[in-house]
Amino acid sequence: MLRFINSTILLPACMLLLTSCTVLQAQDSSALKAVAQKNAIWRNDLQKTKRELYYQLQLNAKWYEINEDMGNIAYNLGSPLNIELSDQSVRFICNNNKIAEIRFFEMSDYKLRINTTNSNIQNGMSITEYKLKMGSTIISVRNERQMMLKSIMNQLTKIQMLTNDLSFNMHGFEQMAIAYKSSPAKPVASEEQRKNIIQADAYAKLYQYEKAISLLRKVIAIDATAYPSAYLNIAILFAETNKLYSAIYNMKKFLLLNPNLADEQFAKQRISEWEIMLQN
Amino acid sequence: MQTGNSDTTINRMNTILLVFVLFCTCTLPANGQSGFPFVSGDQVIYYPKLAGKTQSLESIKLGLQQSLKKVVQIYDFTERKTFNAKDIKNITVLDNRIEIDVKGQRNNLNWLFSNIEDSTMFFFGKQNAGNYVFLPSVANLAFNELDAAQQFADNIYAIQYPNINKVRDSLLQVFKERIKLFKATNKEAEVSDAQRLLLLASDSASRNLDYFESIRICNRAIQINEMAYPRAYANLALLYAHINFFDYAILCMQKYLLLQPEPTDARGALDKLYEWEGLIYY
Repeated sequence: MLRFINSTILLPACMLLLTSCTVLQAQDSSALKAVAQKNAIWRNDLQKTKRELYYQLQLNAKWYEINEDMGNIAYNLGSPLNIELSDQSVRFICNNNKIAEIRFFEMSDYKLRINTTNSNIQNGMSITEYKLKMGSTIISVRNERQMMLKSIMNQLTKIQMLTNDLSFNMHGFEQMAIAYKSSPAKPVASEEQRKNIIQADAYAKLYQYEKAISLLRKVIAIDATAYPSAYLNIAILFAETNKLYSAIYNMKKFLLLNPNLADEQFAKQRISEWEIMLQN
Repeated sequence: MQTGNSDTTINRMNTILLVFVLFCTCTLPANGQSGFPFVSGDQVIYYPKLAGKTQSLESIKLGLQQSLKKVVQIYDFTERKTFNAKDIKNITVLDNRIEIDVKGQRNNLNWLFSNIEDSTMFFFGKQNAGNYVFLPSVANLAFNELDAAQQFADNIYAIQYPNINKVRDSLLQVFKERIKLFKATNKEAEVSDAQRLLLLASDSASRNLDYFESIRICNRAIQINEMAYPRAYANLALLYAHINFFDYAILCMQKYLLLQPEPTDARGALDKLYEWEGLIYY
């Protein structure tokens, strides 16, 4: 009887276990493949958009002017004589070899919007100027060229979104969050992480947000899922320092690891607030 | 031999503590939160900070040289004289001392770093009356600009800090030995009436936000019997942290953890240590 049970139940059970392990492994590797594929698609898309932006800037070079913001004053460098595109940036070479640059990886928290200024000239006419500011570089156009600037802005916005998606590695994090949620034993914050969390909290109370952010970054670097609240805290600190995109991405990461309903509601409210702030 | 050295260190620490308490008891009741400058009457007590885990002597010297250019008045404890900025001909920061060439003085003023190493520096500002860095038994410096005073205090603290760590370690070592001896006697430590009264008085002073007075009384209570009430060390640590004396706070909290190895609030005590260790860095 026992022999019968062994042969009829135990053997198929072992087989089932083996197959399920193989299936799980296959799922893992297929998930990783999917992340890599999506990232590759994004990278291609990013390259394409950068090239499109470059052609547009090149074609319309005589219709816009470059200004360099130096704090209190903005210097007009005139229309660019040449434009160079690299992986990291787009460079405008202007008169007297003066160079202005838009660095793509510094764009992550720029609030891209067109500002309008009206000025009257002596003969009674008025000039409307549209300006798009990215860091210290300002692209400005006059009167009827507004649509061209809008199109440049749209491309820059797309580049910003793709760069952010890649640098925040949202797809990779989604997979990590699935693994974290499905694992029965959740990782616990190490003593080193705890030290950084406490110190970050102390600095945040002293309004030293940059220092608190760098400490929370260390917490995440040690173990990305051991302390999910690090994402919530860092998001709030980013928002306080007016880095709203970084705040949104980190809050989304927190939601992916989401521990409870109350926090979820809070996080979602903050994200929608920050999105409204970015639109206005 | 080691015990002798430790005793000297303890005596020195006690002297420093006495100066500190004398300095502080003259002040009015005040309010504070660790990390923020501590306001006490018309005085604001700041705290020096470290720029990093390791700082080169060259950068420290440069910082001192830069800040000393902005000093408006100095009082030298050896000469017992006050000198104004216009009297100062030259200031040189050397590897082991600060040398000041002053008009009308035959010899240069010499402030040896070895004399500063064991001092508790006071760095405070007075409302509309400048900013001061007080180096006990060496010098008192006045600055118009808070930034210059902060820069000077930070760099002096960078010189002091390795020694502060050493002194703390040796004090803790001595304390460990005392705990061992005390435990060997198998006696139950009891809080005496006098000690209880002082602890209550200290508590009451801290409730009235008079942290300096509270610290002074708490130290007196501990001196009666240092093993009787471990919680007094934790309270003292919190009081020191309130007025931004983080080095003393860390020492007291570590003593508390030594005396009560498995306290119910061990997690909280350790977290406080992490917080204070973090706050002394920029």
